Amino acid sequence: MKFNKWTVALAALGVVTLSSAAKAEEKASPVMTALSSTTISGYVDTSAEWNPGTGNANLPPYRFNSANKADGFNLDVVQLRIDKPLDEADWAAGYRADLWFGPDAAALGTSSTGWNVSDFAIKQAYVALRAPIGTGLDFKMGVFDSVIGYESIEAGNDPNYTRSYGNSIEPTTHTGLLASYRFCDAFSASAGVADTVSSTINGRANPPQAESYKTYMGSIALTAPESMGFLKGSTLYAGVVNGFSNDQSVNGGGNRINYYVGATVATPLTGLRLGAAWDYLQVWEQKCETWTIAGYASYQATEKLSFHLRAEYLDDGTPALGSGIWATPPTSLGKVLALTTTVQYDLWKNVISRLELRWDHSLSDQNVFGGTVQGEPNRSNAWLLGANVIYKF
Amino acid sequence: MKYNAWTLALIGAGVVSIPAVSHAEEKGTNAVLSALSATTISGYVDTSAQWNPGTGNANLPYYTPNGVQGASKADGFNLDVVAITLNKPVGEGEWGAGYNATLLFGPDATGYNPSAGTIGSDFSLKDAYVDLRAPLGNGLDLKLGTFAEILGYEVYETGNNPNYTRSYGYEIEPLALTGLLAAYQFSPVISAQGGVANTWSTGINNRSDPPKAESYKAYIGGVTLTAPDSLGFLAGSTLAGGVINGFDAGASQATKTSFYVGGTMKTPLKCLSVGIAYDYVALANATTFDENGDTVLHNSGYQNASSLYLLWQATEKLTFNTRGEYFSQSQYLVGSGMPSQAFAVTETVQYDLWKNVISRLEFRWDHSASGQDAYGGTQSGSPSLKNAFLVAANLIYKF
Repeated sequence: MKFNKWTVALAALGVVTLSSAAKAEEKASPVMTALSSTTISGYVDTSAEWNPGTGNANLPPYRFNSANKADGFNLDVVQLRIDKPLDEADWAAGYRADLWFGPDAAALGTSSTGWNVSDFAIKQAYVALRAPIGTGLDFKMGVFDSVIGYESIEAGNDPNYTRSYGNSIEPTTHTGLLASYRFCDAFSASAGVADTVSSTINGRANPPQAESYKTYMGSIALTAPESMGFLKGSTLYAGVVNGFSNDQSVNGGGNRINYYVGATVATPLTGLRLGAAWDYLQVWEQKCETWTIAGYASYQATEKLSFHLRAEYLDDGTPALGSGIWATPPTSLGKVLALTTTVQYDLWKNVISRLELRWDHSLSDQNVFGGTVQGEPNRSNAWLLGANVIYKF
Repeated sequence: MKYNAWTLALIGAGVVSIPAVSHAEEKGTNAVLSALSATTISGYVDTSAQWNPGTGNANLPYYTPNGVQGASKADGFNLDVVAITLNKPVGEGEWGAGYNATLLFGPDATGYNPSAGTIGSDFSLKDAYVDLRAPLGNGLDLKLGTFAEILGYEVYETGNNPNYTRSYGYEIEPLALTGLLAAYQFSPVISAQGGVANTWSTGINNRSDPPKAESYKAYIGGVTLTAPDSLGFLAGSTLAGGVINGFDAGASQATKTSFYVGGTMKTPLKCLSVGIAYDYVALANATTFDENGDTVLHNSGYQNASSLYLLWQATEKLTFNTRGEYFSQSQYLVGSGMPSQAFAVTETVQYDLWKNVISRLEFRWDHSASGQDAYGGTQSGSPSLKNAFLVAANLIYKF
């Protein structure tokens, strides 16, 4: 039996034995399942970060950023998707289970009520159903991604490696029932009800709210038809999510409402697409509000080379009043400008490989970043140079 | 599962067994489709049963599986771990790419490689990385993510080791690293690995900072020599050496440098192989706590372990694996089940009775050579014996 060089080296090191390698290198038999059309896919997401300057205790609080990612090598997450999509039948049925493993799974925080955060999380797990009403009414029952937002929590689906502040103030997943309907090619809508705004699976608003207190959500999507020339395929989204959050990291949690409006626009210049996103979050009890506006530009220079720019403005309330979403610490982020530029070059098949430079700057004349003690920032600027490598299977 | 009447009659007559019928009647199932055809799923279910003669299991010898965090394996039946590996090899292309993700479930997953800030659970990630090849020379292979460390004769996967229980050498090596690892094959005879990682210790995305600087990393290097065909009966024998230096973010909070030399040598007897392994760990600035709970700083310290393996394939299905080892360490590192000096002898009889199943019986004797009691007793820290014995059965199904 022939072994590849790597296997021989591993065997020599004692990392594997040749007998086990022999079994591993034999053609694997297909896994059998009781259902046809089930597919398995996913990705392995890794990164390396350099945060110039000393002190990572007060990093910009965008999603999945933490001191444990700064200045080092990272496994971000492994996603495994087991999926059977809806087919064209009138009474079609399917399912999806998105399983997350690794540090970002812990940060996602979907662990069922009463369980500690671990390296495993269910990102989505729902039964998909279609009822033959009109053109077909689709339902998802279980745990599903939020209906609002320009960016995804799956890094490989985003133009940039780091997430926007807008993405960071949006809900991530809900447990509930979501209905979607496509009125025509140009117009579709979704509406749903869930336990809470926050991601804890089977989380409840009760207590402190009544047992009947639920979260409600709705969104619409407009898609430009072919008759609109170069604008064809451009999209306009709008959505709202209102309910109770158990997420104590967002100013103690409580009743909150998220609004989102976003668009992607094709341009006459081949390879260039523009985008815009507006996010607004209000937490009622704390009387605090945060909003962001972001502009995106993506340019596909060659088949393998693309550039992605993002400029974002964040208004996180009034620092002196501590009225922002990230009110403690330090007191609030205040107003922040963030610029992100990403160069992606697809050197390897099935691999996203990109370099990113990000600059976060406080516009509130205060130090909100840096420092070695949490709550004691000493800089108004934060820089990040990141490399992101994702294998999609 | 439902069976037809004729099948039930055959089962009643003992002509077929129920498991066989299960396989036969499941033929109508369909294959799972992957987005990439080259992705494979494999893994194993690892179970065991142990008998620890004598009363008192509070100070078992500190080896895996005894030493696994959160696990109690003595005098009972055990699920050790279930492992599922998703893998796409890097392939032969100049710019080849692949990945690996091994998911561990069960008692032996607890605390194996938890992310910073999480609480140990019955799940852990092992070898989750993107695998890339750059066309430099013969091809430079790169792994980015979390991967098993490169030192050692034995590995985490029980079924890939000659014995069920691990050696002391395995216990003092690092386990998993998060970083970047490069490997290069200079020729069929020599290959090398080098890399950089966040810390010496396990824990995905752990950092040395604090107390070290943000730029403080762990460094990895290793060389492997493989005997060519021209060396006669020695052909295929291997000799490997390596070093890992970095910060142990675990309990010791020490800077550790691990050295390893080991190999497997063929003999003129085709059925007999001999293995050797030497592990040494140098510790700097380790901290412990005295009886008052005050921190005690130790400028230096060491652990070392030497092992000799005899691997005898008696028949196609029957194997005898013998391991003898000696372990010693600095006095301040002495703990429950871990004396300053110890001998251990392990004898494993493996008979592959079932297809895809590793089935083996093992006897192990650990002896405290420090003159102090190190094992036994019913209270942790109060050992009453100088010897510890184990009889174990180990069944592993590989798929």
